[in-house]
Amino acid sequence: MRRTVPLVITFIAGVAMITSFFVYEDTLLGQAASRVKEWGIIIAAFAVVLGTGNIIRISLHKAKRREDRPYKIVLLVCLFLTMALGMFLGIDKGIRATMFNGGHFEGEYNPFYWIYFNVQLPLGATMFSLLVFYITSAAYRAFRMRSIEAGILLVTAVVVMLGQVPISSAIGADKVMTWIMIVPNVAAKRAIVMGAAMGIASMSLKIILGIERSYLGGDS
Amino acid sequence: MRLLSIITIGESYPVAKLVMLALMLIFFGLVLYFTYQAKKGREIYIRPIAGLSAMNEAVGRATEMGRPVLYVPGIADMDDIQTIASIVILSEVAKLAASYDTRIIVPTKTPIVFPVAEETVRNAHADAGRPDAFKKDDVRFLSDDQFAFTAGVTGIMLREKPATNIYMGAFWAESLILAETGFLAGAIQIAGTANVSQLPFFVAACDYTLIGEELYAASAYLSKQPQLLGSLKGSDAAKLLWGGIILLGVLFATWPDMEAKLESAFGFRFADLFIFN
Repeated sequence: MRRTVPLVITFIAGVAMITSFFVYEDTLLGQAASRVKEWGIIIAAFAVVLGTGNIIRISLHKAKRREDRPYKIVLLVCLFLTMALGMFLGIDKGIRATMFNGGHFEGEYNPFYWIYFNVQLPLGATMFSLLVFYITSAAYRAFRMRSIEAGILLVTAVVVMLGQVPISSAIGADKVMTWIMIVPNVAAKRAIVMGAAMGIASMSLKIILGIERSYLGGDS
Repeated sequence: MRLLSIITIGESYPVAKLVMLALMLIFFGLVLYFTYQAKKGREIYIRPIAGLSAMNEAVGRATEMGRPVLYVPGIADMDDIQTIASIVILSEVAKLAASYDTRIIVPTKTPIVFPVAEETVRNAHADAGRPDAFKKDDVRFLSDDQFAFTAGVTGIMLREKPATNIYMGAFWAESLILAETGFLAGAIQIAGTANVSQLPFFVAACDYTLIGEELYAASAYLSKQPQLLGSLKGSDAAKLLWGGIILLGVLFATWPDMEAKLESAFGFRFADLFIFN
């Protein structure tokens, strides 16, 4: 029963979703499919409570065991502070008059959004900007000429990089770069995308028909 | 209200959708045929996939070093098939880790993936005969913000020092941050994604990378269940067929008169088959 019910639900939902693609949106099935998608949003809202509970529980346990205590305290304080500001002072007051003005947040806004724009966004941008360093170190390792394949990769990368700079037209690198980007590059990308699409269809069928059920457990 | 308008195929119903339906039925037929054959006992050969063959070795390494395995199921929600494929692989990896008595840490980005991953790891421990080894705190919801999640995962890598990092699923800009941090932390790394733009980063920074479709083949490869292997074979047979159709398409597209001939013979243009509205 524990496995049969989820398998039946998966089958019905899967078949309905596939069928909904082939019927018009104003049909009963088409409308049922969009209704099911709305249910997904509601379930996700409930799952947020589960997730938040998990963060609080793990952080409290770790803080009690003195494991990464300072980090856990900062996390819990920020979590409860943001939550309290949003719940008691509201999240829409003042925000309509504002948003971005030339990249800067201006106008009347509430503390909840102040935290979002002045703490969370800059922290996210900082993490993103770290990518430049990681790209450099990964590129260094990838372009080391250890084999013929790595050598081809290195030469190709140099040509493509040269093709991006103004001097490229003088030495003809721009034309070679364009050819590399639109012929072998696109061909390889399309092959991967087509293979992946096939894999998606196959995986979906296996799950809908219950052939793939290892995620439910209880195989052995 | 029309119940199933497909029955009343008229001028308004796109031909492309009909072609798609036919191709889908052929594809499903092939997959089911080979699945049935495999169930009957036909031997199925699948080519070795280095990244998946190394999975045993990678979990074994973590066991020998007495350190945990870190499994990141991507950052997409459950409505992304890559996440579903990742959860299926997680089930096999968690079973392996449980049988070796090794901790497996699973950080999740979306609240929906969190309970699914938790249940999967719990079931895997039960299947491996070690339900007591499951630690609830090892499956964690970190944040639904992309870079907050990334910061959380890299923090786990640096503080808990997992010996093996496995990234399976949908990744975007965080892929290289995760893979490079894992490399710097000295972990053996296996990645798999169907996001073409992120593949070069994983190839550069990880020891093994599953490319595109290999991600979806992983569960069959790891579990070695005949039905799953059969479905892989069916999928390969379909790919061969699609290859032929693509060659045909190239022929039609490059032979100037062909398109006009096709239109006069069948009443539609080949290009129409790819218009989905």
